[in-house]
Amino acid sequence: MSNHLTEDQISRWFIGQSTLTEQRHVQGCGPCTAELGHFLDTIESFKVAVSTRADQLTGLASPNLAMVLSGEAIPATPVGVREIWSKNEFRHARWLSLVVHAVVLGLLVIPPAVTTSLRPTETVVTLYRSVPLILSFPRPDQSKSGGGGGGGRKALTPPSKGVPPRGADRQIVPPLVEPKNLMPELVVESTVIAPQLQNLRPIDVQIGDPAGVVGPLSAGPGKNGGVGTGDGTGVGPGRGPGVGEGEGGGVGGGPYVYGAGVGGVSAPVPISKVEPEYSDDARKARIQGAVELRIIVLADGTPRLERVTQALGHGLDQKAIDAVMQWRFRPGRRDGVPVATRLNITVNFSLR
Amino acid sequence: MEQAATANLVTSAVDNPTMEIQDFDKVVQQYWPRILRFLLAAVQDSDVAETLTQDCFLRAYRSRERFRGDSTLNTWLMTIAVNLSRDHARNKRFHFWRRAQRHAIDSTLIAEWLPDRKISPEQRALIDEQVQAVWAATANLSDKQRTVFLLRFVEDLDILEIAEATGLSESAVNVHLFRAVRAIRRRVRGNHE
Repeated sequence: MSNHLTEDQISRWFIGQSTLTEQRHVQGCGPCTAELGHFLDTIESFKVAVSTRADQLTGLASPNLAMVLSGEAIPATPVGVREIWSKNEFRHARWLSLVVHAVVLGLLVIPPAVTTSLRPTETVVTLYRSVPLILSFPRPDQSKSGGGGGGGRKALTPPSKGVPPRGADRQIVPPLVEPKNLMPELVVESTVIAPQLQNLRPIDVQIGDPAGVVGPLSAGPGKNGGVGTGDGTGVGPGRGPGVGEGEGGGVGGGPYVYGAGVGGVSAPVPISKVEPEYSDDARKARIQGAVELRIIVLADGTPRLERVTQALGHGLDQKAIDAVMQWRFRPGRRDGVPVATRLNITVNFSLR
Repeated sequence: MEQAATANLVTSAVDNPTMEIQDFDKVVQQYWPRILRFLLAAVQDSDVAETLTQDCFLRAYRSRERFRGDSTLNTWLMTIAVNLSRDHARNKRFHFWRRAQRHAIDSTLIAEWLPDRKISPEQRALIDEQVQAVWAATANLSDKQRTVFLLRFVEDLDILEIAEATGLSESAVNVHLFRAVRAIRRRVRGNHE
């Protein structure tokens, strides 16, 4: 009886579960009463503190039915908040970011391409003097024949005196004063384009210019491979593969009517053009310049590529060919009849 | 959920509480401080407590037709409050909130809630310390123990009413209450010594 209450007994007393004996002990025991009273005071203080706070909050809120019902509009339960350092689960945002970055990066890399592709490329087509591509023609009437030829090899000495080679309707090898290859595997006779001379072919006579001088062998100061002071693969002071003055082949003077001269053949005229495109490669490399093509315009007005005389590379050559091959021409004509003609075309590529 | 809770209520009403609920505005004004007081001590966060209090009265208002007067209005409202605090504690999504609310009301703060009384500073300091200990101790109790403890010692409900409000049996209430008191006493004495 004299034993004070244990901790468990005190707790039991608080919840009104103590035995009669324990209750009697408390009534007669000062320390136990003090202990119980002390804890009761503590609990009471706790209650007062919480109540005071609740009253304060209530006073601030001044609750009423309207306020309670306003809670219907507002979700009364708080919204879950993501942990600050939790793993990011916004996959969409990640992909979106990736796409945006790719687009921005792409725009940074491509801009020259994009901007230039929007601007027109400038194509300047220069039609050079057309060269007829006549491979065969009817036998000329000698009385009407004209034209001439010339040549030379830029020698310092005047052309040697001699006889022009046989005249023919085609020239495979220009006249040679000094054959360089004395033992050719395939012997081809040198000719000039002057069909009316074909029967005057001298044999074992020095090939040369009839107007030349006797002296050391020389092709003369002219150019492009013939003999004489002119220009071309013929003989004499004229221009072309013929003989004598005049141009375009034949013998005599003036334009060669049936020959390879300008006189008898009109130049082809393009009637539809297709603008060449810039190649991506060239656009990125910012290549500008000109591509020169040599084409043959057939009698039906369609072009055939003969060769690229000046290339630019970076795919521009092919672009130029692709475009020009789509062109259509009014073909060159000789005596009103369409004939195949050769044409030089310059395609300028420029970025502006 | 209230429906299930009200179904468990045991008839103990002396007068007719169904008359009381007719004027719900008055009910709110009268019971708000009590419900708030319980929830404040239960969740230990002023904001959450006020939100849950409002929610409590909203639920009560919506289901007021179902209140048949089997128990006192106080017990009925307290039942809803208990359920709300339990839901709140259970909801995993409020983990962050629960962690944050530890900081929401510091146990030292509760001492400031005590009204000034004409006592010596030493006594005042002692009481402050003990109240803080009880506050901290209740935070560490299990949900059931805390609820039972608060209903008994703060809300002054008797064992039967606590059993109604919590849905526990009377013996279970006693066991939880005993454990709660023992834990709190241990904390208070430990603090004291």
